[in-house]
Amino acid sequence: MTTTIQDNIIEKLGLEKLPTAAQADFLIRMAEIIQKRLALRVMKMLPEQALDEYIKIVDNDEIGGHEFLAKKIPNYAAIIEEEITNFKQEITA
Amino acid sequence: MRKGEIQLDESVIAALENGNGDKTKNSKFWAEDRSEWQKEEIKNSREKVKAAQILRSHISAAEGVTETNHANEAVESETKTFKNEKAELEKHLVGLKELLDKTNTLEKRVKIASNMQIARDKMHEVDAKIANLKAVEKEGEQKQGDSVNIDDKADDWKKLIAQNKADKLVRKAEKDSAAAPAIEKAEKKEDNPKLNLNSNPLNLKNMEKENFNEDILKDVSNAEALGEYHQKKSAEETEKKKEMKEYAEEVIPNAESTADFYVKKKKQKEEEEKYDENIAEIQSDVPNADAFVKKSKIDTRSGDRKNPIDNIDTSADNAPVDTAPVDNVSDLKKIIREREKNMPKEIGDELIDKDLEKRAAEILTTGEQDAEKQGKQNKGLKKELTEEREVNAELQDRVIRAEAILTNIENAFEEKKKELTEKEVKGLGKIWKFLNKPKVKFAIGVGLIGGATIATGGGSLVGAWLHLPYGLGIAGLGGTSNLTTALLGSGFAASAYGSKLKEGFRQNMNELLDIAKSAKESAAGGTQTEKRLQASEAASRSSAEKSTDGKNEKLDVEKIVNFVKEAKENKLTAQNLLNGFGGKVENIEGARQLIESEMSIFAFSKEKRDINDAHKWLRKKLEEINEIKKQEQVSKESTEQQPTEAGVKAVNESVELAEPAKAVETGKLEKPEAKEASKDNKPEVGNVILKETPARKEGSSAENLVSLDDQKKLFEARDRFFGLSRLIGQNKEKINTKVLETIAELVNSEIEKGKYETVDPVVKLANDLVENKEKFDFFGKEANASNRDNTAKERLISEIKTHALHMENNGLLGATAEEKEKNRLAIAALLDSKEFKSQI
Repeated sequence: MTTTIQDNIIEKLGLEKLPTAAQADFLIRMAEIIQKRLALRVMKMLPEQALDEYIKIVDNDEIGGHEFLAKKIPNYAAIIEEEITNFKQEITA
Repeated sequence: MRKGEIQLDESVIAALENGNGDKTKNSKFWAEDRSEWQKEEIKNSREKVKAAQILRSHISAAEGVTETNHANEAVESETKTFKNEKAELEKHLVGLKELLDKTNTLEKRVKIASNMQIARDKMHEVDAKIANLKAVEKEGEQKQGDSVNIDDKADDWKKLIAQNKADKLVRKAEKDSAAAPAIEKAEKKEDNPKLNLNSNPLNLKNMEKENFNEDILKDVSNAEALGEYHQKKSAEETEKKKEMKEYAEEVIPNAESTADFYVKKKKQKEEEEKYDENIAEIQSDVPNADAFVKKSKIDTRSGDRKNPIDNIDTSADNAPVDTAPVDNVSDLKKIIREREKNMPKEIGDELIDKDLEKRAAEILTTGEQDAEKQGKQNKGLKKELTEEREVNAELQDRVIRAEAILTNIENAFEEKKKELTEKEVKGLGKIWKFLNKPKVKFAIGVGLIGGATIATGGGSLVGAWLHLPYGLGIAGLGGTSNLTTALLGSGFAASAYGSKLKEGFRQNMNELLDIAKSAKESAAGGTQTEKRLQASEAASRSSAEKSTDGKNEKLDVEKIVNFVKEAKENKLTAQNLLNGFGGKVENIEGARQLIESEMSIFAFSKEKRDINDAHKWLRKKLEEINEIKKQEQVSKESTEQQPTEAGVKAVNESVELAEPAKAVETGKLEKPEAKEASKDNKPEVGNVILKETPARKEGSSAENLVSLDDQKKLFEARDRFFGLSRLIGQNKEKINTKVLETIAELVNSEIEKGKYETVDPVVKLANDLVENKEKFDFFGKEANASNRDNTAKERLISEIKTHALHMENNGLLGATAEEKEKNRLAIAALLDSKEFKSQI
């Protein structure tokens, strides 16, 4: 039995007979939506002070800013998977 | 009842009643004509008033006549009295005159004359009264005449009023008659409520006794009600029409389809009938042909060369004969006739017979087969087309639905964004920039495609993808999170598609979809990885059986597992492992993986620049060492020709081997053509072999030979190791020549000892490092600096997997595909094993 993350969203939407390029368009669009949601979620996870600090750091040192963010959000992969799962459930409900 | 009273009331009431008696026309006409009608009404009213006044005067007059009658009676009575009084006065006067005449006295006479005068005056008064009475009587008589006239006039008025009433009734009838077309017209216009606002024949009766405004209001109200009624009716009719239309739309195509079906069926039936007729005709001709053949046989045997075919009726006898395929018996006859002319008698019969039968059979069957075949084809195509249309329609619906859902989600996100503060929007933009990397997007794409495509060995699918062994700005994520595990599964895709990442996200998505497709097709037999794991298990078992003699030093799952068990007994921890692999020399694969994994951790970090710097520095150092050692070598060889100590020699050798061409030049390596001379003593492995050195002479064997390719890999691995040593905490100054010498010595000594054959040189290197771990205390610094918690363990596993993938991509897991696959799966199986996980 597969989990939601293991489901193929294209098949779930019944789009597997679309041309590959059209399927890719859908995937790209969905991935962008998830990325946006991720960004919003990560931003919300940051305390206000941390957000201030992050903006301050990243304005001057992009890499440093990213490191700062990575430290603040250590379980990033899990968050991504969760967002993907949520998205899949939402779109196939 | 007094004369005239009833007539007066009736006439007035009738006049009043008839005044408005003209309202049977329709309201529209009535409204338009109302002004005229009112004028007429007023006029009539005035006339009525005038008539009433006249009547009143006549009534008064009539009343006067009545008084006159009474006066006449009194006049007659008074006249009679006055006449009697006059007669008395005359009588008195006559008496006075007689008296006067008799009286002579003046006085008496005057008195009598005075009395006589008084009598005369009285008599005149009475005469006057009588005259008045006569006048009154005359007047009374006149009044009586007038009274007769009044009666006549009253009759006239009655007649006049009756006439008026009759006239009005006539006018009313005429107007009604005139209004009838308008009413009829208005009734016809009932479909249009707007035009019908003033047309309400139903209300006319009620309007008759109501005033103008009320009529109008009522009219409007009714018109509105009527309008609503018609609107409702219209809506119902529209709805009905719509239903009819829908029904028609539903039914018509079916009907058309049905009609088409029956037309086609009819056509098909006609064709079949035609075909049957043709067949029947052909079949009916066949016996003729048979008869002809038989007859022909008889005739030819009997020597009668008369052609019996002439007896067969055919309309195409004179048609040209050719060799084209025949379609009917008529053509066959021609052929037969032609052939008979040219054919020898003894063989003609048989050939004709066979040919005829064969062709007749062909004609019969070919037509049937063609028809059947064509029918099947058409049916198949039609079915296919229908199915394709259905699929396309369904697919289109799904696309529209998916588009709508995505649009909704995007809109919802934009709405959420509007709720953010300015600062949050700025932060979001920055984070978005951070996250908006092709690799992250691709990892999400993998997550969307799901595990049916890419097995992950039970770990984090997305994490595996995010941790692919080359970075596109993922450094901030890698190494700090639990982006763990499952490199095996992703490695499958990564090996095939990892290199594609740089070509663009779209292309990768396309590739990913292709993988999904192929994975699905092979789903019956499990995923690629599952298959590989199964093969690996089988291979591992086989390998374990074969390695009982201890000569097989290749990667072995059981061996590594055993190592882990032993390590546990020795209380080996991850800390120990990192501090130098715990002192177990059997840990060759684990050590190798760890080395490479540690490299991988940093290879994609922001410290990559430092790695490059370290490599450059190390290469420079190597060159310096090489130069020094060369000088020492030359110096020693020139003086004593004695071998230097093994380590120094090894370093020399290693440096030269790092540059094979140079090694050849300096005589350390033989050219390929030189191998012939040495093959008696040294088995060939690869196309370049190591030339014997003094060190080799001491302990070399046939197994010491390493191919040039392996040597190159060895030094690449060494270089990487040096880079690692830098990255795990040593500063440049601590990577001194001693370290380099030791490494080179170890490598070369091991090769020379013949401990290994052409096994993975990295394995050998790692093994040697472990054996001499006290010389390379590299790992302690990293280990001490790190808190080895669960995250670190996960990271360790992940990085080992990453390294395995790296090795695979660089051809370091084996020479052949089979060997590579076996080793890779063996590593994966180990790392996924409970035993291993429980140990770290």
